[in-house]
This record gives sequence, structure tokens and C-alpha cells, in this order.
Amino acid sequence: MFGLLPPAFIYLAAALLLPLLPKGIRPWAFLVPPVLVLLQLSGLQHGDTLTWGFATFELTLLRVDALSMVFGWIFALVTLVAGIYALHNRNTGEQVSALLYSGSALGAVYAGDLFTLVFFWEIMAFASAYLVWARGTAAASAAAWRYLFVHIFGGSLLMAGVFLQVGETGSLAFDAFEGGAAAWLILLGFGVNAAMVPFHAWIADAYPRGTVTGSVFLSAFTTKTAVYTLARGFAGWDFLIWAGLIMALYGVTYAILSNDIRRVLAYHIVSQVGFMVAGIGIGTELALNGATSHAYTHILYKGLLFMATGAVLHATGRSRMTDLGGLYSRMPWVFWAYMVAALSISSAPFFSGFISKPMTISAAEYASTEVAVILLHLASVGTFLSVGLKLPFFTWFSKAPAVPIEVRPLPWNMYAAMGIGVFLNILLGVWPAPLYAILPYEVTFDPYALKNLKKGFQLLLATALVFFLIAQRLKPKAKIQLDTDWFYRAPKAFAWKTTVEPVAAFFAWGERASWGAAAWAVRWGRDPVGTLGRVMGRPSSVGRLAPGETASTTYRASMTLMMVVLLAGVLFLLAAVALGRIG
Amino acid sequence: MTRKNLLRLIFLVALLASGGLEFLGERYPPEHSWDHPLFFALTGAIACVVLSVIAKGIVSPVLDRPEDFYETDATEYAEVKAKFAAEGEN
Repeated sequence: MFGLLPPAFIYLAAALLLPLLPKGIRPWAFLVPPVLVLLQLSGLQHGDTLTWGFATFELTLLRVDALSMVFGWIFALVTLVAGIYALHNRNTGEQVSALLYSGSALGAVYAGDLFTLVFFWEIMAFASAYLVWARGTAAASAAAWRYLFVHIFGGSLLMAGVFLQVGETGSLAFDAFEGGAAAWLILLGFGVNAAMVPFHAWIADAYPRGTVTGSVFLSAFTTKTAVYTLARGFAGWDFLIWAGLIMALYGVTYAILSNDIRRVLAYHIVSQVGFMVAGIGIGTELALNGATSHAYTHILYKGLLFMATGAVLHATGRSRMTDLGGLYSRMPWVFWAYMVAALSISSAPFFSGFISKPMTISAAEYASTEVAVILLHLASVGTFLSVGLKLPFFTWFSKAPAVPIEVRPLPWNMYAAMGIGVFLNILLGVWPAPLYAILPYEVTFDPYALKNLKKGFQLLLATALVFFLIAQRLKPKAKIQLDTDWFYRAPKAFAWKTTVEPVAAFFAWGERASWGAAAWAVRWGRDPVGTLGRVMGRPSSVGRLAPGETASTTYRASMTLMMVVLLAGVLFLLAAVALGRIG
Repeated sequence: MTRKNLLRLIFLVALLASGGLEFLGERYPPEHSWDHPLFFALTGAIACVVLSVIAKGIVSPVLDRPEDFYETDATEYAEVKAKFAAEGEN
């Protein structure tokens, strides 16, 4: 429809135009760019490229192949659904930054060179930080700053790697990396955005503090763009298998303990992206198909999870499990929408996660160690335990809290967006063929083979049985758990004392000293003759002046004489200078 | 039969049925640990206990802190409550 126009440009142009429209139609206008991009993508062919000469380099603004198309489709689709979820939101800043954010994610996915990638990568960081900042609370604002700093750090690692790479090879091409310092720096830069442990804490810090609608966008783009770039550049790197396993297990452990429902989900992003990273590390065709399809389904079910928990926050103003409970009778539809997403993330048969996660685990069974396979199953059980059982149990069932919960009605558009999410997650679960058709490699995996069904049902039902026996022991507590953000949050007091306070103290001293000097000059200048007299040992003849009164208000002969002498001196000086000039 | 008991019954039947899937299809001698019958039912049950013990027994006692541990978070939920009362959450 737009020929070879990079899809990102449609979003960026829309972000510029949106604020010019009347406020009432802006939320609806937000839906136009994703629809245009979906139309645009349907016209692109594998192998299409668009290049642009920039200085001595040739930049590739558009590279169309199977891998970029999978991400392109889902990114455009999720913007549309999240846009519907946000139709009631009149915050123009959020709309513009959501467009910039999702547009630059598309830009990064279709970038064929490292320069274009870094460009969009940085826009993503700034635009997404606004979605946290827009919540307006002090904690959200502080979290947004930390989020931004972490991403600037990650972006700097990436940029350093790119400079090194270009210096060594002279090429900006973004393809599979061979190794060396440049590649490792780029890998770490991607790792920060993929929430790789120990660079993951920003996600649990910022996502629960984002706005209700903003966090739906956040859950989709940053980490999945990183999954795409890792799959493009680092497929088959063994390091990623272990990095992914650590993420998968680390995420579920913290999720079991978290109290804020959106923090539980944020930790599960770490865990689920861990499956994808491990799949990329395994690097076989089956594993890469698994990682890619899991990124696709993950965006669908994680978006729905954030929509449902966001709906709880929107309706009740609460997000801690210790403040929630007994909501089922009042928000039953939100519960069922949530459960569809929760069963999807737990890869229950007939839900979207079932067609993707077992593919990655199956790839590990063929190509990795037995330990890796068992650890992936362990993480999988943990996912169902906390997202599928604990969170819904303590939010919609268990005992209602002592303070009665006010439940406000939800806008219709939230229900509509969740309905679309439910439909897509079930549709993909029972009919995976459309997704399998666009994966990078031919799909040989059959999720509905008997052994996969057996595995799916047994794991989930046995987990559920044990959960119901020990549920009370898993009761949420009004606590937080220290995470790696401690390393940059705890030293704040120390850094404040050692860097900010001494500087502030020095300037405060300077200010006090200069004001003191001025006050001293004023005090003595009020009565120059008296001052002179006191200096010479003769007390002033006028005596003490009343407060506010100065010597100039009282006539004295000595003062007149003094002023005449001063005036004569000044005139003499001026005359001397003037004559000197003329002469 | 109460509704709760009915749900329990359905759950137990489903659990047994998932175990019963072991007897369908062809059987091969196990190559890996996960080829043994009921491996996944046992893994699910054991993993659930193991993860709960690690999280609640080891991680939680060491890393739990009060919600106002960080200065900027101290008033977070009071502020959220005030925001909800005044303008709501979008």
C-alpha cells in the first residue's frame, strides 16, 4: 500500500500529527497507524529492502525476511489491541509516546544495519520511560528515571560495541556475530533490554508502576525486540542457554514471592523471555522456531494478563494481593479473561502458549543436556503455580480484605480489548497453522501429539493438586524482596552524602559568606561619617540611628563637607580621564 | 453434592485421566528420564514443592524487606490510594 516505506515511519508521522487533532478523536486516531501498518505488511515480500545513503555508509531502513515479519505482524497487532484498551485514556502524552515506542520497536525489527538499530533502540528507551512517568506518583516518577538510566546504560554498551565492530570490520551490517569484544558488548546491550539476569531489575521496578494502559504496551515491545535482535545476531551461542535457564528460574522464584500483581507478571516476563533466550542459545531450527513463536504468543497472553490486572487496578485502585480478595462475584468476566491468559502462559493445551513453549523444550530434549530440560520444566511449573494459581486465587477468591473494596465500573473498550485478547489466545491455541506458516523454518513440531498432551495435562493438574494442599503457606506478605536494583538504589544515601552534600555545602557557605559581607557593608555604610569617627576613636555626634533610618536622612554639616570632597574627587578623576583621552 | 465438591470431583477425574493417557499409544523403552510413565505428574508435584520451599523457605527470609525500605517507595501505596480517590487510574 505504501510500497517500501518502513512501517516505523507511519507511526512516527502519526505521533507528530496526533496532537494536532481534536482531543476527542485522538484515541480513535491512535488506531489508524497500526491498521495502516497491517495493510502495509501484507504487501511486503521476503527479500524486500530499502537502503539510504548516509555519509559514507549505506543504511538499510527496511529488511524484510521471515524473522523480521513474525515480529512485525505481532507488533502491529498488539498496538491495535492495546490502543482499543486505551480508548478511554485522554492523556495525549501517553498516546504520542506509545506511538513513538511501538513505532521505534518496529523500526528496530526492520533495521538491516546497526546504526538504524541503535537509532530506534534509543527512541524506544525514552518513549517507554514516559509511560511509567505518566502515572504521576512520586514512586512512578523515580522508577521511570531509574528505568531510563538503566536503558541508557544498555544503549551505551550497544553503541560501544557497534563502534568497535565498525572500527574492526568497516561494516554496519547487522547479521550473525562471530565473537570478539565488539560482539560481547552488543550482546550485553541486547541483554539489558531482554532483562537478562542480573540486568533485569528495571522490569520489576518500572512495569508495576506504569499507567494501567501504558504497562500493556511496555509488556510487548522492549524485551521482545531484544529477543528478535538476539535471534538475529547470536543464534547458537551456548552462553545464551545458561543465561536463559537462569532467567527462567530466577523470574519464577521472585514471582512466587511478589505481592503486587503487576510485579508478579513483570517477573514472569523475565522467566518467559528466559525460555526464548535459551531457545536462541540452542540455535537449532526447531529451537529458533520455538523461540520466535513463543515471542509471538507471549505478546498476546502477556498483553492480556496486563490488561486484566490493569482492569483490577483501574476498578479498585489496588494492586497488592494483600489488599485484594473475594473479587470474583464483582469482576467475574475479568477473572475469566485473566484465566485464559494464565492458562496460555502456563502452556495448557488449547491455549496459545501450548503451541510455542513446548516447542522450545522439545528442542532442548533433542539438542541440549538433560539438566537443561528438567530445569525448563521446573520453571514451567513455577509459572503455572504463581500466574495460574496463586495470583488469581488471592485476587478473585480467598478472603476479602478487612477494608471493603470499592469496585468502579470498567469502560466498555477495556472489555472489548480483553475479549479480542481472549479470542486470539484461544484461536491460536487450537489453530496454530497461521503462525506456523510464517515462522523462519519449516515446522515439524506437533503440539497435539499424544506425548505433548500427556505432558501438558499431567504437569498442570499435579501442580494444581499440590497448590491446593499448600495454598495457605504461599499466602502473600506485605513485603518487597531485594533484587539487583539494590546495587544502584541502596548506595543512593551514600552517594548523596559523598558527592551531592559536600558540593551543596560549599555553595551554601559561599552564599552565606557573600550575603554576610553585603549585610556588613550595609550596616557600616548607613553612617559613613559615624563609622569613620568610630574607626578614629571618636563616637558619632548623632548617636545611634533608629532602625530603618540612615545618616542620609539627617542633615549635618560634616556630611555635606564629606560629600563635596567626594564629588570633587570624582569630577577630577573624570576630567583627568577625559583630558587624557583627548590629549 | 455441593458445587465445591463437584469441582473437586471433576478435578480428580481429570487428574486420573491425565495419568490414564500413559496407557494410550505405542510404548517404547525409555531413553531419557522423561520417557518414564507418570514422569510429568511427579515432576509437577515435586517441582511445586521444591519451588515453594526455595522461595518461601530460603529466598524470602533472606531478601524480604518492608515496603518502605527504599525512601522513594515509602509513601507509594498511600499516594496510589489518594490518586484513585481523586482522579482514578488510567
